[in-house]
Amino acid sequence: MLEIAGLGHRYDDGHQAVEGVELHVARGELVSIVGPSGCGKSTLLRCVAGLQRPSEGRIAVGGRPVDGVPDDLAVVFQDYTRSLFPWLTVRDNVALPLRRRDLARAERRQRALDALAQVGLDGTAGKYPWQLSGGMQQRVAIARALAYRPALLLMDEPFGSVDAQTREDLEDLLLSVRGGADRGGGPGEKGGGGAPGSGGAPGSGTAGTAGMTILLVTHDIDESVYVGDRVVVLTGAPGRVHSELRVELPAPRDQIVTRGLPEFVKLRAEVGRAVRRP
Amino acid sequence: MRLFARSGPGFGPGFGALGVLGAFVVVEVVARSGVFDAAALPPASSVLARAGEMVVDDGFLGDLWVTVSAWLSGLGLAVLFAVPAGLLLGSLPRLDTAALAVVELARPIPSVALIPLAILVFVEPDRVERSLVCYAALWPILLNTLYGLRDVDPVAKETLRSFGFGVVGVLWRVSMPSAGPFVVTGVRIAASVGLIVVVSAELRAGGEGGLGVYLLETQSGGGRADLMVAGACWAGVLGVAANAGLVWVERLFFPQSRPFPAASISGSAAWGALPPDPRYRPGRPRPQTPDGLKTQAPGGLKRQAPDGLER
Repeated sequence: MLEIAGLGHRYDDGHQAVEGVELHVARGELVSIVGPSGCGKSTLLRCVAGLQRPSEGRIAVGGRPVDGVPDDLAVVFQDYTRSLFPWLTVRDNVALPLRRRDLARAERRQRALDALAQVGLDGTAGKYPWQLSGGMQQRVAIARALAYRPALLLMDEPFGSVDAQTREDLEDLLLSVRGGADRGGGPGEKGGGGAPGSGGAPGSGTAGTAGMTILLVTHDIDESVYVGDRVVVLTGAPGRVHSELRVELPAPRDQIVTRGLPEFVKLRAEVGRAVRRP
Repeated sequence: MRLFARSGPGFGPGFGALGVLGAFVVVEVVARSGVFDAAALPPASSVLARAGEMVVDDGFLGDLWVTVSAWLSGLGLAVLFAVPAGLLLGSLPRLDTAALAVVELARPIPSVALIPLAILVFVEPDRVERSLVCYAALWPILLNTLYGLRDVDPVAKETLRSFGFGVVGVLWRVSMPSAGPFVVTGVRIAASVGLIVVVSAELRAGGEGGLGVYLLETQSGGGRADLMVAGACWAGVLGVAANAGLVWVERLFFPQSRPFPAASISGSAAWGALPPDPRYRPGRPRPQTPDGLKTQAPGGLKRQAPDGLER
């Protein structure tokens, strides 16, 4: 799904943010990227999103080289207050990107409402983002990405600006929307993330979001292990891939049970060591 | 809906009404006491009575209409020029820098100083007035459009870009709605400046009718101070009505400015004043020059990455 080869980026001021990054992400995988502050995590994500042209290396999404913003991609930014549009209602915020899809107005609205229901925000559609709490606003941002049904979802410290309790809720939300099974949303559509449009039967909550490939940038080691199928550790500036760890924790993950498992504790320690000692 | 922004601690509209009544009584008492010449300071009650009579005076209403039409058409023309120009300049940083020098040179020229030139060029009073209003209104609208565009959050723009929207899509869906309240504030400032200019031009250029012409007429034959003040009061009412109307427009179209009281404007002193902004915090410097934009590049996200590792 995502191929990164020899990626390097140097800013105009001479700061080398990332260097020689190699990364392969399979379709449907959730890869967490952790690393110390300033290791170029965000730069990496921006290059993948096509918001930043890397100074060296190649990136391909779905087999196609990234030149500009790739199709079928959504980004959830950390700062929801700046990423949501205060002049649009919650529903219109979620529906706006769907203008890029070939959908009628009514369909766009329905999809937005479905996505809001999926993140547990029924009844907020007519409100404005600034009338909601921080955690709810970030749910809106997530719903917006889900409604778009991207093949590749990029998340840049998506839970960095919410309180600890909300953070755990949002982590579970992320696991549930991609798994589908946790919410009892019918059979997971394997590889269906790449085919928008035709689907969209109202009510089928997780349709189109199961099978999505997710790249999650975080600075929280526990979070990277808890939500990830794989953890990629970057070293400090300039950022390079230090190590990759496969996370093989049992399927319905639970904040209390999973975090208490010996494998979780072991993985967390491994990631922690890798982050601290380059 | 509030016509005025709260400028002090609020104690409800009752106290505001009390203040108006108090001022009215003071003016009335001073005028009746005979300290001043009755012709120079008419009692407030007679001004109010004259102002009331004017509502049914066809002559005065005709004058008022001449003023209003010159004022509004000049203002409308300015909006038609300044908003697209602002959008163009705001989208092209290089052009913006080049144009800014011209704007900064032309802007300080008081529009009233151009009245003789406008009379020479346009001759007919209504064209003189309309063009002067347009000129005066151009700058606050243009500058506020530029400020508004500079204030658009780069994260908001990147969000839409990441969904595959192009330059035009981002301009239409993010930059314009985000800058909208700034533009409306520019129009509000322009409206009050325009009113000053249109009446000044009428006083100088004369013509068939207009509020300024009416005021000149009340001057003749010893003068009627009560009519003059009453006429001036109606000019003030025009200003208040325009401001209220534009505040209403702003709240209707830009809900992001709804929870915040609209900034009041104080005549021509409010050049370049900015509307309240949900993201604005005192102490956060606003970019006033194109150089301000440089702080946002490169790699807009770098500056907001939280530091340190948790746990």
